[in-house]
Amino acid sequence: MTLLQVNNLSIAYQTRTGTALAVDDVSFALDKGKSLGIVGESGCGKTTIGMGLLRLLPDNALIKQGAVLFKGSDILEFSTAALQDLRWKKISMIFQAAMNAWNPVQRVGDQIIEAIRIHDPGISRDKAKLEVEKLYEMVDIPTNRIFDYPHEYSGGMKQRAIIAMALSCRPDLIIADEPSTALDVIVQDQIIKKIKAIQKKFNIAIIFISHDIGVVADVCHDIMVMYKGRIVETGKREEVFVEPVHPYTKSLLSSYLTLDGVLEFQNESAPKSCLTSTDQAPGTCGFLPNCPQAEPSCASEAPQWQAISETHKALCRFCK
Amino acid sequence: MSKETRSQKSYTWQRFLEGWSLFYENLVGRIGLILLLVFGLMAVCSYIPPLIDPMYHPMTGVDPDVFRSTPPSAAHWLGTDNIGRDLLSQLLTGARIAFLVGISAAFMSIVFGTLIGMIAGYAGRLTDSLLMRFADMIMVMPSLLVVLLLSSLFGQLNIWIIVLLIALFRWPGISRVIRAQTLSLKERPFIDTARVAGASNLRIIFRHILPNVLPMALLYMTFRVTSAIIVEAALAFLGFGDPNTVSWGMMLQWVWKTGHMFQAPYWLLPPGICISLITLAFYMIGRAMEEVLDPRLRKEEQKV
Amino acid sequence: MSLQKLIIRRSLEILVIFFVILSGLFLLFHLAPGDPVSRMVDPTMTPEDAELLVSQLGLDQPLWLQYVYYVKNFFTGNFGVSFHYGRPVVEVIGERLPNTILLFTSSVILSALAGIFWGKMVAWHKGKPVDTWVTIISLVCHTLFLPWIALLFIWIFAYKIGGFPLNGMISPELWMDPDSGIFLKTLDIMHHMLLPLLTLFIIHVGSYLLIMRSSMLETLSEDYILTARAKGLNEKQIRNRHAGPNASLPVVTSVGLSLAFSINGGALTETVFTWPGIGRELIFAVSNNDYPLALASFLFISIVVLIANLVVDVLYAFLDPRIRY
Repeated sequence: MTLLQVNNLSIAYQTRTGTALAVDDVSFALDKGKSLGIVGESGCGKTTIGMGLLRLLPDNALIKQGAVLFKGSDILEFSTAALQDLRWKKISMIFQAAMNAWNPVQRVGDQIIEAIRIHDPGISRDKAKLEVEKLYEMVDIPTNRIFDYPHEYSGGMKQRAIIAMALSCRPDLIIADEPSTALDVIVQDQIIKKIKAIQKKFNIAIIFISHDIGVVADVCHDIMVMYKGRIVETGKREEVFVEPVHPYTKSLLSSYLTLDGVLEFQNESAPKSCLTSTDQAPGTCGFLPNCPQAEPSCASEAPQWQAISETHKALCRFCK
Repeated sequence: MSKETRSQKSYTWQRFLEGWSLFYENLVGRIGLILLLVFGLMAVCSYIPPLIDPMYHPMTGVDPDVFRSTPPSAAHWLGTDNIGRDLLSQLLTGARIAFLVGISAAFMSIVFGTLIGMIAGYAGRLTDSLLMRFADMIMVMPSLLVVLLLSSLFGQLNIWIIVLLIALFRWPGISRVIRAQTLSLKERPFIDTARVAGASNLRIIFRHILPNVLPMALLYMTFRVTSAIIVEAALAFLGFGDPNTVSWGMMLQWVWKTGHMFQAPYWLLPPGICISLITLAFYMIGRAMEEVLDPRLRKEEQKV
Repeated sequence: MSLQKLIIRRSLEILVIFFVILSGLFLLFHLAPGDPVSRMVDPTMTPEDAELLVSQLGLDQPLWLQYVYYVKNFFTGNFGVSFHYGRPVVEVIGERLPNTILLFTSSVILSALAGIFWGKMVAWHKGKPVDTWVTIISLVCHTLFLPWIALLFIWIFAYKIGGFPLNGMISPELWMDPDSGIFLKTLDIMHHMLLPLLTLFIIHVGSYLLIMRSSMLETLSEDYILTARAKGLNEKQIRNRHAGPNASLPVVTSVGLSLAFSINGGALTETVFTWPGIGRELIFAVSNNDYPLALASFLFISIVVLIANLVVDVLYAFLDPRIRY
């Protein structure tokens, strides 16, 4: 059953100099209880998609086109009240910077209780506190720390508490935006394991956003690779991770493996950090300047979607 | 070498132009600048009336036909005070005094503040904590009242002593900011490089740290001008100004003490408006500069 | 650090600062040209009285012993006799101090609260005309010359419009009347206090408002505001529960930093409105070379500022748990 269906979503930012397209014609679908990974370097628009789904974009962002169908109704058409109802209750988030995601002058427990009670005012504070205790046990934080302040938590604890809060309303979908990036490797591992376990246990759908293809491959059923606002390759975990076809995915993977010491870095043209720019000629391949397989025709002709299998697709004219 | 300095110069120039255009885009900054120009013009014009006729001298010029405060007339555009002195020429001279006091006191206080801030930040440890404690202490002192007390102990103060005293009580705010900047500069690699290259502490402070903290010091100078003008005006208002000059605060004191405040609005209003507006002008310029210097305050150029 | 520890530490620091001020004044009194004795003893006193006072104040002792006397006299409340009033200084101070504290604290608290409240509102309407106008008006208020605005208020409200007392703190005829109860008397004081309070309020509220506005704007871009929004809170809840409390912290800091400025303004306001406070007494004493009164007034004003500083620090620690622990 399809939980979330995104159709032709485009999001642009207005800057002093003009508008910049951050998400360009993105479509994907997510089934209930499944997990989808969005991979790409910083600035490729993956966070913008995550924020766009809950309409949490900054004021200068503009959703130019598309539809975000959640259980069949379009979130982009929601009224403010309906949107506030949807947030956290149906779709919650795990944030990138757990350090700053907590209000520093309120106790952590109170902030979680607030999330519970805002969506169900009928629950008493004491009952909500019991709920928080259960959540804390689930994410392995001692329950006597519930009413501590955020600065008294370690980085990993803050992130686990965020996970607890994300679960507090039993949502159908959690958007996890780089949930482990700011943490050290061991804590990172714990967090990833926790997310995996919780996903299995509650059968919650997850959109997992990361720049680290290895982490994404560890957690997700499906992987979507983004470059300069576009999806360039999408498919099942095994397909994308083991048999990548798009040159960008290949270079991402090769740099990942190099860090693990398995493969030598092959092409010199490692992808540079990208920002979707306004001067990009419409239609042509964004990866062209860094592409080892580029041919002259790439500069003039638009890339085409190539189906490698029923689930595996890539946006490149030369992928088989 | 010379090429390098030239390119550095043009870079500085370019940054200045960029800052200027940002400043000029700012409504608050523009209003401030226009106001300041008006006051500058007033200060320049203050030399004219005594040349026309000695009776327009702000202190000693008395209109022989006037025996009490008179409202505006053809001979005295803003009227006269109770002994027949021209209010307009007093007002114009007041602008000159305000600039003199404001800018010189502010300049001195940023010199003190920047030096102490750089030394505290660069030296660290005991020097730092002693200097900052000292700054804290001065910061809690009500400067106007201290200067009053001093003037009662040491007798009548002339304008330069007043300027110096204002500067002496107004550096701590600046030194805190400069110290914080110095602390962060100290961690930058180029300071280490200079130290390894054998530069002395003095050289590092003046050649490498000073140029980097200077913009912030200048910004604070505009705010200090404001407070210096206010303190001087308040002192003069209470009767502790320099008796050899006319200042706006003194004009207010005269209208208040001679009991003309209900009868002579033409005398009560102009000096107060001038003090308020000139401080406003400097304050507005300071705020606009702050927005230019502190990118965080700029209108969001959102990250994608 | 616990709250108690913080209070103890700050109190000790304040005590040290006070001692430095106390000693600094002693030094100034002896460095200034002229005879320290003649500064403390009213020239119109009889020689016997003068001699008694000199020995009481220890002015006939060597310098270091004079200092000891000076400190001891401060703590025993012996500040000499006011030249003008011909009464012990401590009595005069005792009468004036509460009036100053009343005006000072109510003006600081009111303007800070109003600044926080309005600043929050204005930040919410950033970029709209109301934002621009309130910003400019606040700037104007902040830079108004206080004695002038005080004179202007007296001229407009008390003289032109009427209905407000021209000066003082009480109406003597009302207080003489044995029939007027405590309620009427309180009302009378409030009536007299309105214009001085308004003057101080207008001077202070603008800067607090501007600080709150910019701090609110900065806070609104924090990640935890995004969290609150993602949680499904509406804008009002975000503003009042999450952004507001965090954004008001810099205002509290600024209240602490501007206390000295506030007491300057308080003294000017007291003088223009002839509010019988300690600041007016200081200015009056300085103008009339009433040194014992000037010295003691200054010391007590310093104490008021220092204690207010302590209160602000404790308040800050109370509002921000990161300081407290």
